[in-house]
Amino acid sequence: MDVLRLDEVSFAYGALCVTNKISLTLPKGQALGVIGPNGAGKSTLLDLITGTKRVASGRVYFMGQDITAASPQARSDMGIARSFQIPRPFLGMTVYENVLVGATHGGRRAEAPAQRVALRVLEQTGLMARANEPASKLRLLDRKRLELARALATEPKLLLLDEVAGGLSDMECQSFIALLKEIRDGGTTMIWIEHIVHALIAVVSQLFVLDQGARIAQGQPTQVLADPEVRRVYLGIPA
Amino acid sequence: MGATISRSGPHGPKIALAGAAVVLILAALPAFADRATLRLATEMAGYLTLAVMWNLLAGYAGVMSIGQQVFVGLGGYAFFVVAGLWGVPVFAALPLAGAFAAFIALPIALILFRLNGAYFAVATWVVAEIAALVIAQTYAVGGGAGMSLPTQVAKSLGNNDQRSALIWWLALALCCIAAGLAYLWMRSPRGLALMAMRDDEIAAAGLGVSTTRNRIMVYLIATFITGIAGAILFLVKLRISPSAAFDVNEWTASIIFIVVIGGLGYLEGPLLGVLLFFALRALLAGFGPWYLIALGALAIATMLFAPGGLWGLIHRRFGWEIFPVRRRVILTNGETP
Ligand SMILES: Nc1ncnc2c1ncn2[C@@H]1O[C@H](COP(=O)(O)OP(=O)(O)OP(=O)(O)O)[C@@H](O)[C@H]1O
Ligand SMILES: [Mg+2]
Repeated sequence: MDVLRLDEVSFAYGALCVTNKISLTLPKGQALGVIGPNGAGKSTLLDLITGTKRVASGRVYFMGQDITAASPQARSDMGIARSFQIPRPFLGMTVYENVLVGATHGGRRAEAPAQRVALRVLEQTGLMARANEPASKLRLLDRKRLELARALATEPKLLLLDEVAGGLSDMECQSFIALLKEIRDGGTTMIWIEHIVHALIAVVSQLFVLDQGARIAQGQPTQVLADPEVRRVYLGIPA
Repeated sequence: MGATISRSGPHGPKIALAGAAVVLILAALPAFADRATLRLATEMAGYLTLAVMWNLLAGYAGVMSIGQQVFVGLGGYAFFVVAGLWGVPVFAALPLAGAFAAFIALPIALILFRLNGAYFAVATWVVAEIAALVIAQTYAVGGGAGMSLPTQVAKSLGNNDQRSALIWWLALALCCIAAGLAYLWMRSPRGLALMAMRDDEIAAAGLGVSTTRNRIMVYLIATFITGIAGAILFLVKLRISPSAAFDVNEWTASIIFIVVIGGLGYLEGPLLGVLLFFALRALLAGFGPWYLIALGALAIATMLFAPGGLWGLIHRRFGWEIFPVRRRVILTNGETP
């Protein structure tokens, strides 16, 4: 069964069309990479999937169910989790408590099992050493890591990542790629927005290219990146 | 590498013992205190109860209500009607008064929670003013003049000494229930959800927190307890009138002062705040309006220079906690990360 299906989804700020009739099907276990120039509407697409923003037209289906009208909280309950491009940590809480929010509420667990999940995710994302620090003390890189950890703690069926690898050193990037592969191989369906293309194509099997709210290409990463239109729009290389 | 979670603060058992001792001593107060002292203690317990609930709303649930006097007033009036006019025994009338306040709170919450920040705050005040006007026009409860509690209700609680003691125990019990409720709530996953909502509502909703439902539940609990506190506070006075029952200075401004100065967002804050408030009130009683001006100035200074209030300062300096609601990871080798 398809985990996610978007059917001609659109969104606009007044006259500015930010998402233009996007259709997309994501089978279970697939990792989809999304690229596109700044302001192309990538983050907005995630907002529409999680319900943070409501579509102006079109429909959103998750596991075969129409969730177009569902609240963000209901979508989280169904198994959708995301990281925000600009991290939104709970600043007054510790790193562990941040992750526990996802594990208890997103995962609908009692505290004891949620605790095990939260500790495992902290270990997995390398945040255990900072578990008791207030989230307000984290620098940007660790805040991004916390975004990922919170999302993972809900044990999502569909994981949406928005530029989580930016700023990592080569070493860190390698272990991050390994982590995402592990998550993907565990059967989690994934959409990953990333500007670091080499990291992205190490994990995803499909690329989706957005420009000005519309899809300009989709398919095998190598083919998509060779596409003259993509090279012109995204890589700034004249066709 | 294994890890466990610790919930108690550094001196958990000692603090629990000390707390139990304090409550026992307070419960024994009627044995050695006179009626005036008991009356003051009852009033303090009532204020503390209101402050604990306001702190739960404003400090944890992000609900900035400046109209809580409406629930004090409605609780008081409901009690006078149920116990005074209908003759229901006092012990049954008190929870009924709270239930009435919560019953009125539900539609208010459903409508006002659509408003944000300052609009919500102002709207709660407007609602309180409207309630006061409506009650003042209701002649069954004495209109603008208010009503007295029939003497047989007061007599049902025994002679003067017995009655003061009984009301004090009721106020103390309610205060303990309020503090206990706030503590257990904030320790539970619901409390975790409240803190998350307060810090970032969009992120909380995205992680599965039912933001509206959580907020409404806290609001209903707070109004229930606030209503009972109102009933007890007016049971002490034996008289109720719209201007006293819906007094914004008495039931909201003072309470905000107590919470802000004690420590907004700390369960310990109201305890400290209420002691300070009553001390200042006693000290400055002779200065008339200057007393309110001084309180206001102190509250503003606290907000500017010590947003966590007095308890915030103490907590940061010494790490003390009376009501530990936080969670700390302890690695199995005994270290904390
Ligand atoms: N509140 C707003 N009002 C008007 N336009 C907005 C608003 N927020 C975003 N936009 C516009 O919507 C468009 C899409 O934004 P979005 O954040 O989805 O882009 P993006 O592809 O994620 O970009 P980036 O790579 O910079 O993260 C941008 O052109 C942006 O300027
Ligand atoms: Mg973006």
